[in-house]
Amino acid sequence: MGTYLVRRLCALVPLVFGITAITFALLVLAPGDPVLFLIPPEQRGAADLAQFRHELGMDRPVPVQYVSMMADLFTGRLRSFSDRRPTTRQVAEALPTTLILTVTSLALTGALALPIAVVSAVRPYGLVDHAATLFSLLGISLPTFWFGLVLIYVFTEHLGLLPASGIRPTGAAGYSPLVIWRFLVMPTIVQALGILPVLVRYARSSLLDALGEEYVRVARSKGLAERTVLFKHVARNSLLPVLTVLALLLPFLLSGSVIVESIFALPGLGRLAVSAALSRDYPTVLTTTAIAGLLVVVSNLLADIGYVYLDPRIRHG
Amino acid sequence: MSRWVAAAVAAALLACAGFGAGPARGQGPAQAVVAIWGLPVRILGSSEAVTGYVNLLINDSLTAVDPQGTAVGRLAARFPVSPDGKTYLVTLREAAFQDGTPVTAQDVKASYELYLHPKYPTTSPALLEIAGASDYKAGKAASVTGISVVNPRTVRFILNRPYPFFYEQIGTQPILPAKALAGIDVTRLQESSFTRKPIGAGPYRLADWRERESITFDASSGYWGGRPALPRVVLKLIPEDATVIAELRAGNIDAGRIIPEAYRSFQREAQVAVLRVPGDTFYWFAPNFQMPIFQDVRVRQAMAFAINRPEMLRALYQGLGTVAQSPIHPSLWQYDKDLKGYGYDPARAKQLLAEAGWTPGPDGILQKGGQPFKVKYGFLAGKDYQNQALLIQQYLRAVGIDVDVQAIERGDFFGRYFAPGGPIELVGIAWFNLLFPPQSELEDNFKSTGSGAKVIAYSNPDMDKLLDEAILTRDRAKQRALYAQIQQLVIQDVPHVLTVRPDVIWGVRKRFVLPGGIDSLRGFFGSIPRWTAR
Repeated sequence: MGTYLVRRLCALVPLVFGITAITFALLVLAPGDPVLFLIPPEQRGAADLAQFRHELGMDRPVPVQYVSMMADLFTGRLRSFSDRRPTTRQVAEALPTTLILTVTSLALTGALALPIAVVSAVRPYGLVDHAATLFSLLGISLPTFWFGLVLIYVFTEHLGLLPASGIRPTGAAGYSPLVIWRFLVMPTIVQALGILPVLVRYARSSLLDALGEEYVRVARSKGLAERTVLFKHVARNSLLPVLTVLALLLPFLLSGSVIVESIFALPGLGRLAVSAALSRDYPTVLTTTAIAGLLVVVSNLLADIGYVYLDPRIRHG
Repeated sequence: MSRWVAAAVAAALLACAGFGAGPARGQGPAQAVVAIWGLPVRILGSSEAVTGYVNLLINDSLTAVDPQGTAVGRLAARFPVSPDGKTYLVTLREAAFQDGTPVTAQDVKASYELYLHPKYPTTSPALLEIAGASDYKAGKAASVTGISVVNPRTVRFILNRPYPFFYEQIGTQPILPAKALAGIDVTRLQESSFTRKPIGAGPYRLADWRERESITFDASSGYWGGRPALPRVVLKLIPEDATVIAELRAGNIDAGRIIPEAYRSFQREAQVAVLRVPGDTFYWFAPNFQMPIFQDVRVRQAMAFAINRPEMLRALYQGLGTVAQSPIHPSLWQYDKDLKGYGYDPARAKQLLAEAGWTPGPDGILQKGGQPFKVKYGFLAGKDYQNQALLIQQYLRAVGIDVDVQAIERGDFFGRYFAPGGPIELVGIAWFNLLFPPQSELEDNFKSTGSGAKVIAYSNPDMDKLLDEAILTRDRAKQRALYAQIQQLVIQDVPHVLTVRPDVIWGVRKRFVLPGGIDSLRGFFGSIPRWTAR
């Protein structure tokens, strides 16, 4: 297990370099000059463009720019083109919001998906199963922005129960759960709705598969209580594919949803990345992709490690 | 299972208790939370409109321009000009920065030398009118000879020529403390802590800045104009229009911009007052003058006649706005109220095109010498530009011009497309912030040397002459007459086809009392220090 972890962690390095190199290449290939972005047309006469290009390091060959940006990124000296602050600081400001929202929406999804899937699988084509199928279909079809706006319309505009913008009250600092939970309710529901149907469908079919296995019949014939059969034997075996799906869904949450962040005015990673890409802020784009890539790879790694605990037959070595 | 039920009930109870625990709405301390669509990226060396709004709160300048475009004294108590129109003697009033130090002539000199520093990224062209400024900007002089400290309260400005817009263009720069500026490396301006924690002489002190979240301002007790009535103002970033509306109705924010579609329903709102001001943005499209088909003025006039501007306003902005006939903001004294612009007259458009030699082909598209009238209309990707482009396409098609519309992503638009020699045929764009004297923006767009004019290759010696004359006279009546001629020439020569100027609509909670006379977006933000709470 130890050598496996080390090997996986070592594989991270080329992966992050690969992701950022491709991103950088795409940025450079995309039309739009970052220098012209920073200086409005009417002032281009007075400003020395070549000087400005030199200060940003944009007058060097593209591979040199990339290597020096990556070196600066790892030493924390990389600065955004637009506000000239360290990009690691920008990410540090945006990351808590994205992480918190990821955790809450995962928790909500887990809390809902498993019971629904269990009931659906135990009584397939029953009332709950049909309702769950209908709900899953709806959940997949509803556009996120529309669902978010409907929630805001009901809970903010009409009932006045929940705030619709920001992560905390104006003037508050930090992320104390007691303070921010009201701000998280609606974004969490919207985020969870995006992944819940997928998870429910996977968990249901995987549970159904497991319920048809011979060891279940054996367990039942032994006279075990149905609850024990279900939770001790079936659930654990059928969690494996669910974990895989979860590992695939996690990047979706971690990279920050631009739509959810925009609707609810959340200062997260998604909006940081998109605004940086739109303004050709190469350093910030590189940093956000590197961080997002890292989070994704690490979450996949965690899922792989999770397999071992769920199924002792799997051994990494 | 019963344990789970109990836990769920407990959670529900907790949630209900939590709902009541929020701050009571509409009460509390008299702070105003104003929703804004974008926060500044930088405070110094930026020409973003939102930076300008923040500057109105934290900074003050020697002079300012009132809503009609007339200069008034701010930090300058007296500002007489010599008879030759070149020397301005500015006497400062007793004022202090937010850290308590007094505003002195030395601060004024240091501030202007910052803006004229060779490495300062966004020097306003008007500042180069100051004697010695060009040399200093070019790195050939150690100081600006045209700015001298006479005594701690008096500073003398000498200009190269009798430039009449000293108070409007030169005096309006923020005055910053010399002590803080001394430690700044201008090549690394944005990295200095001052740009994140600025100190100014304005009514509010920047207290807290959270990226992509909010900027909090606290009233400055030492402000020369008196401490503002609201102790705290928060500009809160909310990108989504619908969220602003919901938050405003729920009382979670105190002011926010409302989309035209919601204007009517907000007029019935008991808690929210609606304020409608003429927009600072007006839209236009322009041809590329290098293309022979657009060199005929009749073709350009025909396009101007073909556009149904009132319908554009109705269809896109619920009729809330004005038809744009002049490039000058209607609230300014330079605006010509008697200006006769273009009405919607497709018959006249067709007639003008026929006179120019264009005849309808079999498919209804105009032809000349076998060549069909087909052009590409490029616009900056975005909702407003796109909706307008689609209408304009339809209007031009109705008179026989086949238009292919094309959205261009922002980076591509400013980097490649909207540049001299760019592949423009027709381009749709807008002007912002028309609240300064219009001279510099007119020059930029219509004078042959202006950066905007160069993009579309527009050059008209008559226009250049009028713009030069306007800058050489200080007689208000003569200036007014010259600006009237310039506006008339924009109509006749059609360098741009002006379309619409949508209104800006604000919703403000009724517990706040706003001063009168707000007639622009900039004026709205500038009025915040004069807001009071009921």
